Amino acid sequence: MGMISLNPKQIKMLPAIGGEVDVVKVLQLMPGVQKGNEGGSGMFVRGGTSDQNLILLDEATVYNPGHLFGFFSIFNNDALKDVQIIKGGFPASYGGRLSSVLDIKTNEGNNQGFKVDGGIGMLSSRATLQGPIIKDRMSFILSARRTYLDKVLKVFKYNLPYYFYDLNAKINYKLSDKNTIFFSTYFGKDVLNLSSDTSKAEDLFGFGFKLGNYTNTVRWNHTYNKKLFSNVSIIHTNFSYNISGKFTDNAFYVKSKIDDLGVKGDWEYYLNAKNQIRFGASFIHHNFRPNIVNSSGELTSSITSRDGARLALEESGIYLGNDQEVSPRIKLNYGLRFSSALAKSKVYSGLEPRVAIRYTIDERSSIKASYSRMKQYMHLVSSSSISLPTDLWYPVTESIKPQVSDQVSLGYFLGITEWATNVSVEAYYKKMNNLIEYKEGAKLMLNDNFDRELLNGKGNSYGLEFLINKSPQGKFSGWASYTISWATRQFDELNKGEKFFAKFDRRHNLSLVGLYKINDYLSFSAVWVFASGSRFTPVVGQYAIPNASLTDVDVMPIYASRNSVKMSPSHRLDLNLIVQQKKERRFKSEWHIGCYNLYNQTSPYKIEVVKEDNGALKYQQKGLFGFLPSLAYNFKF
Amino acid sequence: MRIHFHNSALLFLAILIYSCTPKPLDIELEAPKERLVIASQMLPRGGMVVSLTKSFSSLKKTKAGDGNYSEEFIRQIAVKNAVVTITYNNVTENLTPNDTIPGLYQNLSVQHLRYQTYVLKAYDPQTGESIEAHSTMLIPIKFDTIASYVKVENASQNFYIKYSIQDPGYIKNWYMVSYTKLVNGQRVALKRSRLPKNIPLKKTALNIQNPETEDFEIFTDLGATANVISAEKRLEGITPSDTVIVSLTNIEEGYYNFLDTKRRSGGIVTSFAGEPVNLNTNVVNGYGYFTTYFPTITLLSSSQVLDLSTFQ
Repeated sequence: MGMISLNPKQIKMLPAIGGEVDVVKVLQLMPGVQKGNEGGSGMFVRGGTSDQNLILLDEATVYNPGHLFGFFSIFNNDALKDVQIIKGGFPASYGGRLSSVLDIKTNEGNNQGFKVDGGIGMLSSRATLQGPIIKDRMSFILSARRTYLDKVLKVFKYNLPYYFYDLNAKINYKLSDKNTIFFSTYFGKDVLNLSSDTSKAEDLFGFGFKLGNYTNTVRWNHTYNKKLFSNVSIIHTNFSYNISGKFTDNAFYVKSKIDDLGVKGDWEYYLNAKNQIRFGASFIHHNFRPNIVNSSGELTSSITSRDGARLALEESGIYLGNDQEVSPRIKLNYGLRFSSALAKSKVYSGLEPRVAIRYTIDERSSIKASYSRMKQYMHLVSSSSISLPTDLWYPVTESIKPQVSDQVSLGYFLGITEWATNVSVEAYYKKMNNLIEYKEGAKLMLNDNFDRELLNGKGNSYGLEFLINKSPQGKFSGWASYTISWATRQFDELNKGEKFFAKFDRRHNLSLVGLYKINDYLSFSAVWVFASGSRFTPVVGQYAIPNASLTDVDVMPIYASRNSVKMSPSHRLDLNLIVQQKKERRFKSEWHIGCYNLYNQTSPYKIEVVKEDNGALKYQQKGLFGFLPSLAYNFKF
Repeated sequence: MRIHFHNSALLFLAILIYSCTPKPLDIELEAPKERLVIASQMLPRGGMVVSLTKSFSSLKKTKAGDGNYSEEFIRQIAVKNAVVTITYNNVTENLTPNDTIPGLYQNLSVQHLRYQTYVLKAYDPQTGESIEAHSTMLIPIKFDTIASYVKVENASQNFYIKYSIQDPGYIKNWYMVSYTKLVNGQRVALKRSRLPKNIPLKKTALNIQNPETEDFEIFTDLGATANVISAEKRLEGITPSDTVIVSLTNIEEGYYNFLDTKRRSGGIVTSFAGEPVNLNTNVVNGYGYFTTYFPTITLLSSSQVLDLSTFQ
């Protein structure tokens, strides 16, 4: 329970912003998974924060899943095989985050023949090549994409030197019937390189950044006998950014990175027909290097050069679990995970019990219940108001304790086979301790001493999730999902110690997704979403006080209680028409003609005071994306 | 033909960009309750002055067309005819309204007693609002040494000051140093740019509404070596002929936190990425900060140093 799988082929048929198919945005259409700000690829699962999602790409942790300030996820849909999100009832094999596990597996190359897939969109183009290296034993797949708005605008003599690219590659080698080796890698970067187009030395200006993820996984799959299997992996993950700027004689360069090296082993033992035991262990060495700074010129007074802090975290876990069929009607999944983290001389550890039960009522329906305890030893230092490429992960410290959650959930599941439809209703309650927020006025950027800026508090969330999912059999497929939920926080030092709603506490979330195959050549899909407004802390009042030297007056803002204002609800309709060419040909192609936000509805993300035509002031909610047409051409041969 | 294509492409881009920005939605927000706002100053030759104003809605226009606070605005926020008292050393005295400046209340006979706690109370009969605030008068601290000099850097003359403070040591202290200069007989706060001075703001792509901020420093005695705190600072916007007034004030911890938060909330980054910050206050049921500090003042020019400390 609490688990949703997506089919990348089905995702491809759905409307997408700018024609860029994005798995995370499709996940946001699922119950219990809420979007952050308009267009963003952040996920807020069952009242959690975006850093409480464990995002795995072929087992490697992805620390920054967004391109273009988070408007697109880093996952190239063409490279994906399985996408699974777990929101509750976590198996004991997963740990390290409180709210969800997004487990993404990439495609394996075709070991029979060569295939090429590709697409040309408004924002990017992509290509995938796959084929055998040694027929039946060794194959590869290579997927790459790049945005090219920078190149297009350059033709028209406009300078927007921003682009992103990514590359997925995988090789699998079947050594023998009992041994297979996989090597998977991901490499992606966002690049901005702004510079003044002038010959005058005094006007020299430059600003740029590079940020990206780099993951590598080597996995050895071994079959001992008919009852025992194992997967042992060595995993490397790196996320880094560097920002540089030049203003005449002033220059700065800031680099930060997180680098992980880990090993993980999972074993499955089929004890008998009624018991399937799983056990394993993992160890990850996290290496943090925040804020390595180099500056010159007058900037040195405000941005001082430094080598940055060297932080490390050793995170480990062992687990044991069992899938047990207690009776034909009752199935149990139970397990225990022991996790620990060593940060400097401080050791944190704890047991994380997990249990899930399924009671089969009849052939069609069942009831499921689960309990999970999760612990998190790392957190993202990020402003609640905006996501920046400078957001960095930091480990627990002596004063900042690990986040802990306890979640219970209960669900009813109904399968209507004659309609190829599944219906589910799930209720959950999640209690979270040692949550992290920032002190009011916290200095977030270029700050190595976060202990002084962070606060520990608590929170809870609860809700009810509905899903009706029609499988892609017949002409129509799609789903309807609805979530009603609440998420609150309480920090002694914030909001006068009073409980407040989480920023993305959206009361109602409704998604209607439909795909209709008109004929062999034409398909149509539509998505309509409605979400209650997110929370905001606007300036509602002001007062005037003398400045420090008592020579002038400063007007200071009075903010409303934290997240006390609920912005207007948002809703939008996205459409996509797919025109396919004749299928008999070896070269197959299709056009995607679509639009985002057909009726140009505003999805508010902030409240501002603006001046009206008559000079009076009023409050206004700003949105980001209106009607956006899209056109894409996909092919394969 | 090429021009037509170019224009068509531009038109397409313009439509695309326009289509990306949906019409903003209006929203009604409840105005916060009007509260009393306190500011205070101890007078050098005895007595104190308290300013009493009201908080106001975000939708209130504060500035006139010339960019200054309008007279109407100042008149509207000033609290007239309030009952204001100060209690210290078991004595309660009234502060009376200033005849010429609305919202200002004064009592020239209030004594300055070191380590004495002063309790300010104010009641506005018009709104029924009342406040109370406490402050302890700390001993003034003088600069132990202070000097100014001009240094030529990158072909420009920069004005520096260098000072040291003898910290009493036996208790924890918090300090504020502020800088003003005399312009036409008026004290004007020195400003510092939020970015280095030769950065062309229009090219930074940062939307900084107020690229300059008041130049002042706050620090604690934690950095003292053998009870001596030393610092060197470059001041902006000074010409060698200017006279600079440097004030050193021994302030309470709460006021230090107030100034610290105020300064943090006005930075470049926090202006668009920061968390909401409500300034702390020692005024119960109100805003602002009630202080009883007393600065020591030094006048500096590039050629001389004149000590004008008036409170020993």
